[in-house]
Formats: sequence, structure tokens, C-alpha cells
Amino acid sequence: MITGNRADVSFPEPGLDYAEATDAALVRAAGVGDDAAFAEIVRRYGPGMHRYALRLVGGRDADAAEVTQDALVSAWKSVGSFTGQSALRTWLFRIVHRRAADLHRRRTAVPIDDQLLSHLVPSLQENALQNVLDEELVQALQDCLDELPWNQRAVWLLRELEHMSYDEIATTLAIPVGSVRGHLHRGRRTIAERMARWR
Amino acid sequence: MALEPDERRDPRDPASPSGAETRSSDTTDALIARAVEAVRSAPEDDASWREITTNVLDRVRRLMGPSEPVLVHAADGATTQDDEGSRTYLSTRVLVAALRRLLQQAPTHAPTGIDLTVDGERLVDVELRLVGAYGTDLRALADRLHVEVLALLRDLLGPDPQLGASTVSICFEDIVDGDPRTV
Repeated sequence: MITGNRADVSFPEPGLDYAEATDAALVRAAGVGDDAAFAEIVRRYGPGMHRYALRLVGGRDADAAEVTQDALVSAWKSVGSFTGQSALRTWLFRIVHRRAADLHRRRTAVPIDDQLLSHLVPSLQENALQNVLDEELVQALQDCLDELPWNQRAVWLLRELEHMSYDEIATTLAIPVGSVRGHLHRGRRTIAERMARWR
Repeated sequence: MALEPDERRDPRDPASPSGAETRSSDTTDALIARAVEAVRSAPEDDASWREITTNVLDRVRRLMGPSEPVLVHAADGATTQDDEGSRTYLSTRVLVAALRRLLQQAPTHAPTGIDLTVDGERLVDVELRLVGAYGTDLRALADRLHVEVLALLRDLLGPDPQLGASTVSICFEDIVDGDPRTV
């Protein structure tokens, strides 16, 4: 297999089918620089990360794209040091959350009316969900989410949209499980009240 | 996955009230559930998501991690390539990629870490961390990999007299049931 000719020594990419690979195998391969394994991680968890980012940043597609891309590139850079103490998905969502929080801090530092910002309706061109039949309903939900405090919004999204367990949410947001319960309770109450009004 | 009892709807939660408000709140819950389902089903086929994926993978492939130059030896063992004293170097990034591909060729093992140490432009240490497949003769596998890795390094770096069996260390960190490249 190995020849004396230096041009021939580069082994081909193994061409593995990563679609059925476990998360552990993907992390292992991506950690040593296999970008095909990382592409499968992106395919597997990227849509959820993007969905979470989009709802967290107020439905602004450009912001969600920035958050998701930065989070995934961060994940690629640090996947070699991922220890597996949490699930891969939880680790990825934690990175998304941090990136979104950074963006949120930058946005809220701008001296304009915070309420105006939180109620900005994305333009039709920007709204990634414009083709959804339930567009008005989704927008109503987004308006409700925008009114929630940051942690309540994050907990509600991770629980209701991503179906994470309380422990996973606590790990993702680096808060105690008791706080997860409290944020979720208040978030659910507010959403239910607002949506009842919309109905 | 089954939910813990306290992860089900809290009956005291106004989002799931009881009594006279039940029908109204059921409708609200249904609305919320419908909105959640609409959100969940929306982005995956969206053009913006495809664009994000493309951008991410482009950025990942362009990213250059830390790297060091390693001196390549000529066929006669000299560190210069010609009479004028020109030298050739190979990036450790290239070496790591070549080693990674070599170590991914068989279902008996998979790499979890490839660390190279360069001292004075020479490769002095190669530390390989692997996961082996259950049932594999690990000692025989390690012996074979030592030979293959050294052959690869000598092909890439030339006959550096410092490159020897002791340059390469192999550590099996885990054993898995199945092909470690995908399990």
C-alpha cells in the first residue's frame, strides 16, 4: 500500500458512510480532522441548532444564521477536546446558546428602545418560515417568546421545541435544575396567557 | 424517552389549568402545540439552512489549525535538497491528515488523537491514541501499525535517521463492539 513515491503515500479518504455512525464515532473522527464526519454532525444537529437560534433571537433569520454558523465553526475547532461528559447534542446547543447570548448582549447594548427591538417583525425576505401555512400562528408565538425574559425563553424553547430533559437543559444553560423548573413554569404561564389573548 | 413525573405538565401550571377553564386552555394548548409543530417542521428544507450548511463547511475546510514545519530529508539522508542548500519542509498539518487517513483504513481501529512533537525542525515524537474493535489482537495490530506509520513518515519526510520505532507510541484508549470508525 505504501510506495516509495511520495506522491502516492496519501491514503484516500476512507469514504465511510457516516449516516449510521454513532455520535461517539463522529466526534472521534471529527476530532482528528475528518470533515466528512463533521458534515454528518452538522446534518444531524444543525437544523435543531438553527431552529433554536432563530426562535431565541426573535425570528431574525440573518442573526440566527450568524449564531448557527459561528457555533458550528466553534464546535469544529473544539470538537477534539469534547470529553463526552454531556451528550453531543447538549454540548452543541450550549455553544449555540452562548453565541446567541453574545449577540443578545451586543444588541441590547445599542441605545435604542429595547421593546422596539424585541417586537421587530422580520421582513418577508428574512423570515425563513414564510412558507409555513401557520405563519400567523408562528409569528404570534414568536411575539410571545420575544416578551419572555432571556432564560425563560431559552428554557421554554429547549423543553417544548427540542424536547430536552430538565437535566439536559440545566447542562446546556449551565443553571441548576431547580431554576429550569422555575423558568419553565413562568414561561409556560406567560405563553399560555398571551396565546389565549391572541386566540 | 419517558419523562420523569415532574417533567410532565404541572397541574398547577396555568398553561394546563383545570375545571371551568379546561376547554379554553385546551384550545390554547392546541394552538401552542400547532405553532411548535409548525416551527419544528419548517427550517430543515429551507434554502437559508442549506446556505448555512454550505458556509459552515466552507469555513471548516478553510480553517487552518496550528502547524509547524518539519524538515524533509533527501534520498541520501541529507537535510539539503541540492548543492545550493535548499531545504524542503512539510507541515505537521499534512502529516496529521496523512496519518489520520492511514489509521482509518481498517475496521479494527480508529484514531481518537494524533499528536506530533517537533524539535529543531525534526519530528521527534508521534503519539497515536486509538479505539480498537472488540476481539482484535491489539498487540499484533500495534506492531503492524508501527511499521505502517513509520513507512508513511519515511515516505513523506525522507530517511531521517531520528525516525525510528521509538518515535511512534500507540495507546488504545477504548475498545468498542463493532467497527470503531462508526460505532
